[in-house]
Parts: sequence; structure tokens; C-alpha cells
Amino acid sequence: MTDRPTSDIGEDDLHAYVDSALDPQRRAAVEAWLAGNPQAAADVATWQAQNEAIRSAFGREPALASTADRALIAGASARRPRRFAWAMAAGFALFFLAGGGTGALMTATFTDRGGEQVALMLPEASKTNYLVYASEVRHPVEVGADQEQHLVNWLGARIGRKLSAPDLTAKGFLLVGGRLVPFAEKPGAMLMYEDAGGDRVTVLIGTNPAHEGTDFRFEESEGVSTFYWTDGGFGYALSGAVDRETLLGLAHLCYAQYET
Amino acid sequence: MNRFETQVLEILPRLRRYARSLSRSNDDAEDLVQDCVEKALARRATWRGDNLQGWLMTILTNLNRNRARRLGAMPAFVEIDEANEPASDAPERDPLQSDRLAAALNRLDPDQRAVLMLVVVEGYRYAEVAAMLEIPIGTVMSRLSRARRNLASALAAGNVVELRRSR
Repeated sequence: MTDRPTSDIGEDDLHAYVDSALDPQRRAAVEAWLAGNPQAAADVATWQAQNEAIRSAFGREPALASTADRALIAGASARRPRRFAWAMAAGFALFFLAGGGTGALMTATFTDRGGEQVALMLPEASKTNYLVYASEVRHPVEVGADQEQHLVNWLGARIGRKLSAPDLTAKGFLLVGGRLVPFAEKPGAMLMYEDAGGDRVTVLIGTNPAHEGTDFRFEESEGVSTFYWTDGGFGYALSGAVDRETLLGLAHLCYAQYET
Repeated sequence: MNRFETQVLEILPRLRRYARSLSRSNDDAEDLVQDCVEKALARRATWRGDNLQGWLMTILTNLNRNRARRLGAMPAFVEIDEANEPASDAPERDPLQSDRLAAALNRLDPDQRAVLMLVVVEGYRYAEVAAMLEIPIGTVMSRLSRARRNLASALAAGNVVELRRSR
């Protein structure tokens, strides 16, 4: 090949040239070589144009993390199987890998949650819902209490039960409204209440495929208290930045009204 | 939110940019980011404690490959009528042109596309990509080369216009 004066220039150099990864000396050598190799020069021009098109399509400087990103991580953290569940999943993994399917692993790990697992996920999910939505001033709910019947019909249809919004007025809390929320990879219902002082509590209702019941349990973290329990095909959780006694009173009201 | 989760949060926007460069739609990218975060939180114990961003990028690359295999047989989504329309005169932000780029990228093998995006969009050096994906640097170069040549021929195919340099 007469037009290859510098024979040590290879295709890797051309890519490095396109990606501005060469030192100045090497860069100059490639440029000189390209001048005598129109075919390679055409490839290089094409690749440079590709780079520009790709950067203009995808290369915007990433924004700072948003509240939604925070919720995404909190949600992922809440859904994460706890230690013992994970060990069980690892056992399944060995079993299924031996059978030769990683798809089965995902299925075994992330679906078919038992009652205990649903109960384990409730407090974190409920707390996250509370933290994300109760602080929203203008849009805390999707459907307001002025459309209560529509709200309970809609959410009830999504989670597959006849739903009512528990009456918490005995403890001074009035319904603000509700929204559809994800819970354990399924639709869940969140109801929000507020008292005269502006304190809010949220009620989370999610499906519990195992149909097992648990006791009332209490958890408190990041200043948010949560009572939660499962009963029949559903899991319930109440969260709020209120004292334990107040929340327990509200939980009893809910439990009494949702008794199955 | 614990310290690890806070660190993941800081990297999330960049992770999303990378996911979008690998995905057919922003919705797909969002799913990918979410899966990646879940996996990272679940496997936190296996992180060696340095270069969290690289580790997350690796997890996302692997999830994307598995997903692409699952969706494997899906044809690239190109509206024929739209693809046959003549290109408009505006060289930048031309929706038809970016559709064509997207369609051409969607035909790439996911591993080739990942290397291309890690280099071009994320600005990693070849050696960094090799370390991240645990492949020899020669494999990085051959994937990059195939990505560029396949992309060029996809774009040069009948229903796709030539990319123009905007300068």
C-alpha cells in the first residue's frame, strides 16, 4: 500500500483520535497519516459526526438529584428483602441456577411475598409515603376528601376490595384525600388525614397475598412513628410525626373499622 | 437515608443519563435505574468500597444486557412512513434525525452500545471501561469499532439520512 507511510497507525489509533484520547504527538502523526488515507479519513469523519449526534441526544450534564430520586431510593430500600428473606432467595437462586434459569431467580426473589414479608415492608413503605406526601403543601393527594366516594371507589378497585376511608374524627383527624401508591410491586392505597393543628397522618393499605394476620407492631425512625399490621388479604400501616399514644388511638380506630 | 444510600442518590442523575443512552425510551430507562438501585442496595455488601459510580454503571450495564436478551426478538421500532419522509433542513434538534439515530442505536448489540455510550457520553477512558466491564481492552476496542461501523451502516441504510456535522 503506497498510501501508508506510517504503517504503525492502526484502527485503535483512529478511535482514540475520534475520542480525543491521544497525546499531541500521536495525534499529529494520525492526522498526517489520515491526509494520505481518504477512506480512513472518511470513517473518522463519520465517527466524529456520530459522537456529536450521540452527545447532543444524550450528553446533557446530569441535573442534581431531585426529591423524586430520593423517593426512588427510599422505595428501593423499602422493597429490599430483609436479611432472612435474602438468604432464602439465595437458596432459591442456587436451586434455579442449577436448573439453568436466572429468570426464575428474579421471580422467586421478587414475587410471591409471604405475609411476613409484606409485614416487613409495611413500616418502611408507610414511612416513605408519609415523608414524601405529607410534606406536600399543594398536592398532598390525588383525589381530595370533597370526592370521598369517588376516591374510595377508585382506590378500592385498584387494590381489589371494597374500601372505605376510616372515620378518625373521634381523635380530631379529618380526611384530606388519598392517592394510588405502589406497594410491594402492586397498587396500594394511601389515605391522608389532618388535625386542626395541621399534623398529618397517612394510612397505607396494600394487598397481602399470604392472607396471614399479624399483631400490631410499632416502629419509629427519622421522627416518624408507624403502627402496622396485616389482617386477611391486606396489610395496613399508619404513619405520622405524632406521639405514640395518638397514633395508637388512630390505629385502633382504623383496625376497628377494617376488621375482617 | 443512610450514608450509602445518600452516595447512590448523588450518582443517580448520572446513572439515569447512562440508562437513557442505552434504552429505547425514558420509561425503559427509568425501570432500568430502579432495578439497578434495588440491586445495588441488596448487594451493598459486595461493593469493594471504591468507585461507587463505576460499580453502579457495571450493574446497570449487566441488567440492560439481560433485559435486551429478554426482549431480544423485538424489532427496532421505526414508523415506515415517518422514516421515508425527507429530512428537514434544520441540522440541529431535527426530530426525524434524532429518531433515526435512536432507531439505528436500537439495532446495536447491547454490549456494543454500552461501550460506545460509556466512552462517548460518559467520557470514560478505554482502560476504565475494560476494568468496569471486566473485559480485556482489546474487547473494548473491537466492540467500539463494531458499534461505530454498525451504526454507520444502519444510518446509511435506505430509510436513514446521513448525519451531518454541526459546525
